[in-house]
Amino acid sequence: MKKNIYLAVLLCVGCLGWATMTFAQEEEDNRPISPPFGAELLIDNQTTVNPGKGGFSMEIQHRFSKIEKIDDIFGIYGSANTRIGFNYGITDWAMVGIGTTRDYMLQDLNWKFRIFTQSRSGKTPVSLSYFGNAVLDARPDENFGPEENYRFIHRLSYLNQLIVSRAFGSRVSLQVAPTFVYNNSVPEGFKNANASIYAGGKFQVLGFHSIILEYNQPILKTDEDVYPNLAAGVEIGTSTHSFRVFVTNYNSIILNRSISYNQNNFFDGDIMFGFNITIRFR
Amino acid sequence: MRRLVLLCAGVFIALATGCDDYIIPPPVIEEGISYAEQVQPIWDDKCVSCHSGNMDPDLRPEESYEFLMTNGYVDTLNPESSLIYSKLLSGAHASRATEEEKLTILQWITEGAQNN
Repeated sequence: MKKNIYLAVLLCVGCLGWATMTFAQEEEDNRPISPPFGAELLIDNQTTVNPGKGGFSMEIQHRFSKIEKIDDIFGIYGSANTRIGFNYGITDWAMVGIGTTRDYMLQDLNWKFRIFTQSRSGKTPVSLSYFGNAVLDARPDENFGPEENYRFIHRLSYLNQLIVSRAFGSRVSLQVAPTFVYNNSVPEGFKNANASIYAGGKFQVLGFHSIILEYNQPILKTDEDVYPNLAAGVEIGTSTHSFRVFVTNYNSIILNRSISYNQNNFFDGDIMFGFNITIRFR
Repeated sequence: MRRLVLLCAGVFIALATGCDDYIIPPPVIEEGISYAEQVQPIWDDKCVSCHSGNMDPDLRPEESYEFLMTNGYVDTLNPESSLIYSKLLSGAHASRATEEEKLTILQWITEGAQNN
């Protein structure tokens, strides 16, 4: 696990190092760069991209069940998880979103603010966004322990994340994000407060089509095993749609759960297929 | 500056909506589980909407016990390795059954998976 944390930190440092080198470039074109990623989401994690003022987008996220045997066509006939969400750009730099997820009946309200954007000259070497959410678990009361201890607040969890991204030319974009998740109630063996380091990237290989990768390493120890989240796939981009098909080891979709509870180990073969579709209405 | 104010507002909303550090205690399951009175009602309530003969396992009242016992879903020697129990711990199934329901099923297997 330590090795993984070192890798994530190394990626972060590399990103900033490259930024410093290009900072010295002579030509000053301080306009912001084109969006470094194709949509507000990469796979399950947010990017530094906002829909823009008045922009509206819909997200459909789908995870099949774990790939186990041919009988259920590698998880496609198994029980799946789905989220449908909507994002709206209040201004060019502020976004709000809502969504609902099938498993655990999660209702999420999220917000994202772009604090600054990488400039073409390199004067601003990276883009920085803040993303946060509040997620409500809407399952029946009996899922939250004894009736006498029940409080509505136990249904809530929060996520706060700073996302730093850097586009290396028009084909490669990387991002890192220190993330903090707080769950008001957890089963025994898990922690209320959780933190992780996330790294993700897009490597455009053909036209608007890219290879996409995500890795999210929880950094706080829990009594129960919580495994890192790893996902890899392809993105097929068009002017109004972004399709992403991938394999992943977490089916929660909502990061609050993936970071706090993921018990699927990618390297033990606990993987599943998933796809995301983002549709832009502007 | 305006961005900063809004950013602070966002963080404020996240924190001000309230925090608690509750650890949900595991439910206490009594011994002497009855399949007909305690296990089958779980299938009826949460499972048969999908598992009604079109999808394995068949969990309809008249079929469920026979199906589970003859198709390798129950392992009384290693109750926690039983397929029916492990299915309840992963993916979408984990979110549908409560902890009490999962442990009731485990207890029933531990007690020999009787058709009682």
